[in-house]
Amino acid sequence: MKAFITVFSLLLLGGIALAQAKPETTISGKVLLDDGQPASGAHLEINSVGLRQNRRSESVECDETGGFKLTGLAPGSYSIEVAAPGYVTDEATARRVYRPGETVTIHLVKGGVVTGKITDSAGEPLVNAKVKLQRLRDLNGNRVRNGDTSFLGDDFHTDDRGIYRAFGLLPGVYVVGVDGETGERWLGSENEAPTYYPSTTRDAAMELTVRPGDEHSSIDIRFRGDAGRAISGTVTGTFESSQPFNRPGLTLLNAATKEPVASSSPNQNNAFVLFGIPDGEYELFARQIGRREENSAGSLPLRVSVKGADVTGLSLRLMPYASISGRVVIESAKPGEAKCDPQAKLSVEEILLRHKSELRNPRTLNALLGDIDEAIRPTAPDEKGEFTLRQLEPDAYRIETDLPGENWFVRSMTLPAVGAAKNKTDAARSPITLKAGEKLTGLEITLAEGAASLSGRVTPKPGGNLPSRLRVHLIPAETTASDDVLRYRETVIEKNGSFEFKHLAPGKYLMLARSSSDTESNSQRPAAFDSTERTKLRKEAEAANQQLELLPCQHVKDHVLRF
Amino acid sequence: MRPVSRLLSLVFLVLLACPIPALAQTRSTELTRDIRPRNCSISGRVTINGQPAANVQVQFLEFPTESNAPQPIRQTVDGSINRNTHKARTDGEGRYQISNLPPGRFVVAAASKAFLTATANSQNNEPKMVTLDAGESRDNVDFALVRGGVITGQITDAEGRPVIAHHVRLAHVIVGPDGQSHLQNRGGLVNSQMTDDRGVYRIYGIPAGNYAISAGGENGYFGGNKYSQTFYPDTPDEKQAKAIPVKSGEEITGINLRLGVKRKTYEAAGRVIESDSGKPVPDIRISCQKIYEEGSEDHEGGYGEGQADQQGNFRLTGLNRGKYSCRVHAGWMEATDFYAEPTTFQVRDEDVSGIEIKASRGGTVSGVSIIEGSNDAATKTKLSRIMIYAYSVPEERQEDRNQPSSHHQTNIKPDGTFLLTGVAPGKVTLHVNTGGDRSLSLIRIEQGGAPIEESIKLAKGEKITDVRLIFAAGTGVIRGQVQATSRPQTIGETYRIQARLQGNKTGVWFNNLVDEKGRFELSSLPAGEYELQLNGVVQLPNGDRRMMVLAKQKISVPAGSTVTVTIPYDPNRPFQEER
Repeated sequence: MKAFITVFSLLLLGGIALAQAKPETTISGKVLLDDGQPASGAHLEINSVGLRQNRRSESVECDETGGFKLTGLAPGSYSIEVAAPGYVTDEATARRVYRPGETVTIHLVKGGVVTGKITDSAGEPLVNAKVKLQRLRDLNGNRVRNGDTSFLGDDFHTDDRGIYRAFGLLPGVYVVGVDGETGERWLGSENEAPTYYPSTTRDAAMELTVRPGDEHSSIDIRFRGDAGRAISGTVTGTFESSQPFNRPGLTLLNAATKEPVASSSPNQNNAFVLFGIPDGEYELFARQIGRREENSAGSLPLRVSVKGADVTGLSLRLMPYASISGRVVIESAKPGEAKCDPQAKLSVEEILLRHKSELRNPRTLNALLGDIDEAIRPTAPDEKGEFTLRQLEPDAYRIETDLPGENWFVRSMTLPAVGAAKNKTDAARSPITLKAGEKLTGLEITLAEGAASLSGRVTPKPGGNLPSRLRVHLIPAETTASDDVLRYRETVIEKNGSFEFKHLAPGKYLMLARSSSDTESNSQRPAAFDSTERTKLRKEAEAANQQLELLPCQHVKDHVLRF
Repeated sequence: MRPVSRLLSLVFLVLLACPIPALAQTRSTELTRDIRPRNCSISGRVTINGQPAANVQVQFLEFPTESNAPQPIRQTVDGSINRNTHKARTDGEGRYQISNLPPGRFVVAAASKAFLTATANSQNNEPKMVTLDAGESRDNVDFALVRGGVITGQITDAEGRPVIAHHVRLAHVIVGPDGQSHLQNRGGLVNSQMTDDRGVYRIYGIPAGNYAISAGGENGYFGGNKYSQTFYPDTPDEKQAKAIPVKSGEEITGINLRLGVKRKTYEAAGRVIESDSGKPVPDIRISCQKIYEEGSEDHEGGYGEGQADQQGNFRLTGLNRGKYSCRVHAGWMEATDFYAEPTTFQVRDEDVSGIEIKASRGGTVSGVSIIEGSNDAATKTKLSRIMIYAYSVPEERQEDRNQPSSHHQTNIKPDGTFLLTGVAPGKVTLHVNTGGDRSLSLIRIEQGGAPIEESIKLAKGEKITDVRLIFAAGTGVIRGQVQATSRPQTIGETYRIQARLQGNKTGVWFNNLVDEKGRFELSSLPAGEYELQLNGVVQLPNGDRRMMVLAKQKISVPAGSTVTVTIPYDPNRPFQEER
C-alpha cells in the first residue's frame, strides 16, 4: 500500500511538473484594412522593446487572410510595425506593446495625401525640392513625437513640374513647408528660411487636418527665399570613449511649438553652425548617445533668440545623464496561498518600466517636451530582474510599471535606507531625485501575485448626464494604507463611461468619480502623488461612500459606479 | 567707519548698482575671422535649346580646397557668419552675375536635374568648378542646356490595383556590335523612381535615346519582392523589352505596366550550434547570399538575414529560388566568439528547414595602435574615432577567395587597444576607416615587432595579442601644377590627382581634384616617397570618352614640409608605361 501511494504521489508530482507550461514564444494575429478586408501581403516588423543589448528584430509577411505568426520569441515585450504601402497603423495600435502568447488584431487606416506645386520666388517650378510635412498633433489633439509622419518618412520631393505628392500620411494635423533644399547634397546647408503653406512664415502657416483617406490638393507654396539667420557655437564635454562615428547631435526646436527646425553635428573642432533660421524663439540642445546608451550625455536646453542678426558664441556643455538601477523582486507566495493561475509563470523580462519626470526642473528636455508621452522609452529587466533606467536628466522621478498578464501587482518600491534610518525609503511615496550624472542603485520593485482587476461603467444620476471628462479614483479604504501611493489609482473614463483597472492589490477600496477639467491631458500627474490631495480624495470618497472589496485573483466586470 | 573702508564700500555699492556691460563683441571661439577680400565675381550665360533662358536659378557653393581639415566657420566684418552658398538669377538675356565673392574654389550649378547639357550624347547637368584667385572676375561660365525627356505611367497588379511605393527602373537600350539590343544603366541618371499611392511614377531629366522601363524583381523596399521583374510592355525577358524612344523635352505618357506574376518566395529555417558540443549559439546573426553557377542565366538576386534566438533557431524569409551560402557574424558594433564555415543550402520549390550551421569558437586578434612620432593628447583621442575592419580567409581553400569565413568590425578604445573575437583560422587582413579624417594614416601593421606583409596567420582558436597598428600624423603638403603639353585644358574636365605612399603594405593614398587652372593640393601626408598619378577623361579616336591615367611622377615629401611639383601631360594621349 505504501509503495503504491509513493508511486502515485510521484506520478502526481510528475504530472504537476508537466502541467507547468513552458513560456510562450509566439505572437500571432491578423492585419485588417479599414474596410475590414484582410491586408494580405502586408509586411510586419516586430522589434523588442526596452532592451539595450540583444535587441531583436524579425519580419514576417501576412498571408491571404491577413494572418501572421511570429515564433521563437524570447520572453519580453515587443512592438509591431506594419508596412502596407498606402496604409498606416492607427495611433492606438502603433503604441501598443505585445508579449508572447498574445493574439493581436491590427487595423490599418488609409494614409492621407497632400499634393501641390512649389514655385520659386520668380514663379518658376522648383525642381527636386524637399517638401516637409510636419505633423503637429494627432486627431485627438495630442502632441506627437517627431518623425511619425508617413510610413515613408517625410521624404517627398517635387518633380520637373514642381509638383509633389505626399502619400501614406498618418492622420493628424500638419503644416507643410519647403526649405529650398533641392536635393543636391553637395550644395550644403540652405541659407534661406523655409516657407510654409500658403506661402508664409511659420507663424502664419495654415494647419491641414488629414483624416484617413483624405486627399488635399492644390497645397501650393511659392518659396519666398527669405534670408535666414545663422546660429553658431561650440559643444564642450564631448567624451571620446568608444565613440567612433558617433558625433554629438544638436537640435534646434521652435520654442513655442517644439517642432524641430534644424539639426547638425559639431565638426572635429567641436564647433557647429546652423543656417536658414528665421527670426524667433528657439531651444537648442545637444546629445551624445553612447553605443548601447551607456555613457550618454546631454546638455540642458539653451534658449536662443534670433532677432535680425546671426547668433554666435553659444556654448553647450554635455553632461553625463543620470541613471537608476535596481532589481525586480518577486515576492514568494505564502504557504497555503492559492496562486491565481498555477500554469502562468511570470517572465520578468516582460515587464516594462518607465520613468516619469515630476518636471520640477524647468531647464530640462523633459520639461520642454514633457507632454509627449511616447518620447520616454521604456526599459525591460533582464532575466535576473535587473534593470537600469538611463538617460535621465537632473530632476525628480516616479517609476511607472507595465506588467504582463493579469495576476501580478506592485507591492512596493524601495530604495536602500538613508543615513541613520532603519527602514528602506518608500520610492513610490516620494519621487526619486537625481543630480546631474548621478548613478543611483538599489531600487527594488517587489511584485506579488494575486492581483485583482476591476472594470465597469459610471452611470449618471437619474435624469442627469455625465460630464465630458470624468475621472474614476480608487482609494485604499484601510487607514493604514493611506500613504501607500501604489494603492491609489485613477483613470479617465472612455466615451461610453467605461473604465478599467488592472494589476490591483487585493484589499478594500473606496471609489470616487470626479469630473476633471478639459485642459487636463490623459497622462497627467496622479492626484495621489501629493499627500494633501490624498487626504482630499479620501474625504470625498468617504462622503460618496461607494466601497468595494477585491479578493486576490478576483476579476470584477460590469461594476457600476454612480456619479 | 574709517574713510578708506567707506570709500571701498561706496565703490562696492556702485559696482553692484551698475550692471557690468556685456563685453563688447568678444570673438566667439568657434569662428575664424574672414579676412578674405571680396573682389571676385563669376558670370555667364544660360541657354535652353540655344535660346537665352531668363529667370533661371544659378547656385554657387564655396568648395573647400583643403578637404582633410574641418571647414572653418568664418565670421565676416559685420559680425555675421559667412554663408558659403549663394544664388543668382539670369536676366532677360539669360545672363547672370554674382559679385563680392572671396577667392577660392566654387561649384556652380544652373537650373535643375530636369535639364541636361546640350552635347552630342547629352550628359547630365553637372555643376562646373571655378577656382578664383584674388581679384579675379571669371566670365563665360556658361551653361548650354536642353530639357530632359520624361516618361510617366502607372503600375498595377493583376487585379488592376495600383502598386504603391514601388521602384520603377529606367535602362538605356544599346544595340551591341552583335546587332542585339541589351540594357545598360546610365550612370548618374535618376534611373529609378517610386510609384505614389495611385501607382503613378514619373522619371524626368532623361537624355535623348531609347529606353526600357521595368518594375518588379528586387525592389529593395520593405520586402517588396512580390512581383517578378517585368519589362514594358509586358515581358519578363529583357531582350523582348520594348525600346521607348525619348527626344529632348518630350513627355511620354501611358507607359503602364501590369505586374501579374506574383513571385513566390520561400523561407529557410535552421539552427546554429557549436560544432563540438552541439549547444545552441544564441543571438548570433546569420546572413545568406545567393550564389550562382558558372554561366548561369539566373539574374534573380537573393539575400536573407536573421538572428538566432535563445535556442539558436533562426528563420530567413523572402528568399528566391537558388543556392545560398550563409555565414555568421556579430551585429553592428557587437562581438561574438564564434565563426562558421560557409554553410550552403538550396531553395527549390518549397520552404527549407533543418539547416544546421556549425559554429566554432574563433581565435582573437588584439593589440595596440600608436601614433608614430606624436604623443599629444589631442592626436591620441583621434584614435578612438577609428574603426577597424578585419576579415579572415581560410588558408587552404584558394578557389573560394570570395568567401571569407569571418568579418569583423570594432573600434579602437580610448587607451589605444583593440580586440577582435570569434576570428576564423586563416589569413586575417586588417583595414581601418578613419571616418573621413585624413590627418592620421595607417602606415604599418606589426606583429611581434616585425611588419606584416599582407595578413596575419591565425591558427584555430589562437589568441594573438602582439599586433601593433602604426599610424602617422601627416603634415606634409604637395602643391602642384599640371601642364598640358598639347592643347590647353578646358573648364569642365574632371582631373584628379592621386598620391600613393611607396614602400608600405597598408595602401596609404590621397587624392584630390585638380582645378580648372591645373592646380592641386594634397595635404596631411606622412613623410615618405610618393608616386603621383594624374587621371583624367580622354576622348578616344572613336569619340568615346574614358577616364585614363595621364601622367605618373615620383616625389619625396619630408616630414612636415610643403613640396611643389609640375606635372607635364598630354590631354589627348594617356600615359604609356615604360616597358
